[in-house]
Amino acid sequence: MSEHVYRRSRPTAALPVHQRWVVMFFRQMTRWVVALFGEIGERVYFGVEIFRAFTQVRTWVPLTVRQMRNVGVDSLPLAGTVAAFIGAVSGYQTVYQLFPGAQLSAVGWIVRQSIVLELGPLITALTLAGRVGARMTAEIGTMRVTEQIDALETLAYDPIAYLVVPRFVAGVTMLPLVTTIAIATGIAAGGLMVVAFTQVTLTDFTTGLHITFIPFQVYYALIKATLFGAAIAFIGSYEGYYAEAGAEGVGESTARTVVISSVVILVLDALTALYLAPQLKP
Amino acid sequence: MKRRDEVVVGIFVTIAVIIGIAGTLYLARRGFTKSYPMYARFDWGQNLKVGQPVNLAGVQVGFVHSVDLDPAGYLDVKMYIDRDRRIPEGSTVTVQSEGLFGDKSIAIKPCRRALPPASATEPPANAPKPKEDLTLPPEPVCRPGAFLPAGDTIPAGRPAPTLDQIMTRVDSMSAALGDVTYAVRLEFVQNGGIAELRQTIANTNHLVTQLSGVAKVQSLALSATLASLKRTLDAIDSASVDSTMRNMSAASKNLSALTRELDTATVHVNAILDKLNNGQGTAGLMLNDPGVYNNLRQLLARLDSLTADIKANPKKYINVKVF
Repeated sequence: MSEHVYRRSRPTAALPVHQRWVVMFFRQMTRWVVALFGEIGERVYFGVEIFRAFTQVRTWVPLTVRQMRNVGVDSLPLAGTVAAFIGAVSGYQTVYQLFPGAQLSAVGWIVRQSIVLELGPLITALTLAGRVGARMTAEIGTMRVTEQIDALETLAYDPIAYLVVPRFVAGVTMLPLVTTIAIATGIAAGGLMVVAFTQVTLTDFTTGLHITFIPFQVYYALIKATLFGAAIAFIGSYEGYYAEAGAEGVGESTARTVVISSVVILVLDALTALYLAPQLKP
Repeated sequence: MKRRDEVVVGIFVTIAVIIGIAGTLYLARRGFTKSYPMYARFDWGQNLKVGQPVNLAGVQVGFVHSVDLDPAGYLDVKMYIDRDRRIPEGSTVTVQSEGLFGDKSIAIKPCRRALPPASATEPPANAPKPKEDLTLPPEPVCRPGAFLPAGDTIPAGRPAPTLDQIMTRVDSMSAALGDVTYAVRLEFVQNGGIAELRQTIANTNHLVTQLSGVAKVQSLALSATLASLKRTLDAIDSASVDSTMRNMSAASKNLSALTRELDTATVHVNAILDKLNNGQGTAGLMLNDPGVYNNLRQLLARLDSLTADIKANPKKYINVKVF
């Protein structure tokens, strides 16, 4: 009887050893796949909760401005500094990559294309993933582990509408604006650098800025920035909302936010390039 | 505090939106200068792109706004020209290459400047007329103060030769040069042209040597002739030559005295002739008085009648009596 019970609880015990390993492998794979879909499902559910919470306008609107300041205004010095250095260095590097006889206006063109299409949105988003995303996770995670979220529920507040929606709205709206200023700063810094330290004149640079420009290039950058902002706010809020108990759990969630946000930003960048880049042809 | 957040966020959003809109407009419209549209039409394959510069006589005055493909084989190009720049009437547009990237720009070639007044430049009537290439359309001449209106189409001019066309021409020249080289090699090397040339040079050298010998002989003969002439000249007596010269001088003096006398005689004769013509003196009166002439005529007529009468009746006048 006991043998029978044992076999029912661990059916692989009756199998030969090599077959037992195969079964265990597939069992583990199944667990991982199920866990993966579980993770995805949890996030989808979280997303649905966010959209549901949008209906509670009175809860999230007053709190959004504070988050907008945090995501947008307070991030501007960091984003602007990073963009300025990226623009200046890319402009300076470009001058020395030109082969003899190439037009110097190509510098302005290359700086504009690289900053507007790629570096501006991407570097800004990666920077803010560390600064804003990590902060969101730490804030919400701390509230989770100190059971403040439970207290909110007890007080009949929707914690999603109270904590997550303002951050999500701030991320979606502020990141394109920060990206816009970062792009302008990057191009200006690039122009300043090449005009001050190389033989490229301001006329060369500004002439290159206009070549093959179509407004969709800016829209493309803003679309990407919006997606990146949504990703940062969503991942930061989710990881904080479901943080494990204890300070270590919050720290883990914060680190996971930065890693996942960075990877998701790069994947989103690739996907938008895949779908929208053909329309960038002037 | 909360109020302060709203103000800061409001300022930030406003600045970001302004930068975004103004930056996009700046990049798309080539700065903030106001401009007006102009159009041009080119053949396919000009490699034109949006944003490329439009130059008028080498100065950038605008940019390419759009390039549309016309299925009939044309590119319809819309350009924006700075409002303070105007395109002279009669200008033409061509697509030019810039740099090695294959970058293009649109060059507006202004019309030829109007000629100054005709009196200053009119060539003389017999001056040869300058040759004109009849295959090309005549270059338009500016009308002073005439400009193309906004939204007009600038006619396309003759495009500059492309690198491919130049290379094709160079290829044909190279082939022709190869043919010439082959012909020269055939004539001079394979058919013995060089040997003949060397023989000709040798013959010429021989001829020159012969001519040199002849010249030497002739030079000797000439020297002898000169010496002989010198001897002959030395033999001439200088005293007799001097007396001859003196005689000739005296004869010349006599001749001049004779001339002077002849002049005096001529003056006198002229005076006499004047008197005769003016009817002075007897001879003059006789020559100039018609009455004398008439009297003489009458006298001759009477003499004639008398002579006739004498012939008819001799005895009337001649009565010879002998004894």
